[in-house]
Amino acid sequence: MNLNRNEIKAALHAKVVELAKALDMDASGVADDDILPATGLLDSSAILELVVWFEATYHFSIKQEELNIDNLGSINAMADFLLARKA
Amino acid sequence: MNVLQDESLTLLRVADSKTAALPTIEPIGDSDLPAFCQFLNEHLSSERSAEQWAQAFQQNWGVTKPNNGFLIRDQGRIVGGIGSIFAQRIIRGKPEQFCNITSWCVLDAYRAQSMRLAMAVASQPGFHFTDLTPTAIVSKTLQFFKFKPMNERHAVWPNIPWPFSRLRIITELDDIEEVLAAEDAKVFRDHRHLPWVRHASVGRPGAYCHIVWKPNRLKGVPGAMVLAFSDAGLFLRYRYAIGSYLLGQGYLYTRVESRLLPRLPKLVWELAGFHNKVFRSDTLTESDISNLYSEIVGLDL
Repeated sequence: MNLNRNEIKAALHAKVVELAKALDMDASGVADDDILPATGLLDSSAILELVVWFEATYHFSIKQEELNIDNLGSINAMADFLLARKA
Repeated sequence: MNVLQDESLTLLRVADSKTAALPTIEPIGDSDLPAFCQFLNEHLSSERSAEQWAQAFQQNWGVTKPNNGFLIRDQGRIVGGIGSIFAQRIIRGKPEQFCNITSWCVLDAYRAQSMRLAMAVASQPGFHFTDLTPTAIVSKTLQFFKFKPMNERHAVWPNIPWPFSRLRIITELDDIEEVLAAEDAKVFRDHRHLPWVRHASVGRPGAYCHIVWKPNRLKGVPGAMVLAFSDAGLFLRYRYAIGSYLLGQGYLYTRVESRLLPRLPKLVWELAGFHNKVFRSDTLTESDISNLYSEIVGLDL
């Protein structure tokens, strides 16, 4: 799998838009450094669904203690976290 | 320093400026409390009146509270909120300030705002945070905000007659405080007005333990759920005498959260499978997190 940072971010952005759409929200304008829980675009279930998708798509496992806003709070943070884990 | 607090405060403002059409997140001031508690009565639990909810948030527990939680308002209407009970406790001689999160309720149409709401609460600096009655999803959500799950097991032992004890057990409210150390006496005073909470001082001169408990049932069997004690070592040492007293009151077992015990005593079994209570603190451990000064005692749960 290609772990290009921009491609990871694009995939994350698309997933966020998809999850938000299920909540009747338009996340197309979400920025890579927006703190996702603070945007009001995703609820807690959607955030957790995003995390599950993230693990499955990139074939890695996130430990309980890693599941926090520092690592997974924004598209940028998620991409950085993944790249660090795969390095 | 807590990274979450600093970053999230800044970024909340950024997010708010980008999403002006979103419902607003506001602190629950004292003047908002009646309307918020009415909202809880209508949407979270009608078993509790708005006044009963309000009483839980209006405890005078030694801290200047910044708010009573946060609410979501859309076009003037309350559509969600999280209540907070604030308190100051002395832990290892040092005053510590707590924000106990409770009564999280957001209307379905606004559930995408629930994470914003949680961030507003958890971004407040200077507090240790607890949620002692989370649902499974709330527990997981708060873990995203760096709350830690606590051991959810409960230790249970049968109460048996114990005629060998020379310990004194004081249950008259007017007498309990007299034998307690100053800090323990304050804890008792802070809670004695709550009629659903039972107290006792157990021990001997110079070695009294304050215990706090509620009646409980396991598969229909009456017992005592011990919520807190002032000294875990004394509580374990006195457990036979305490159990014997409780048995005399018709309570057949003693139950206590395992996390509160320094060790599991013999002849005890553990119950598992409860929702994890959660807390967030840079300095405290789960054994420091008390059920007192929270909705566990503030509400008749």
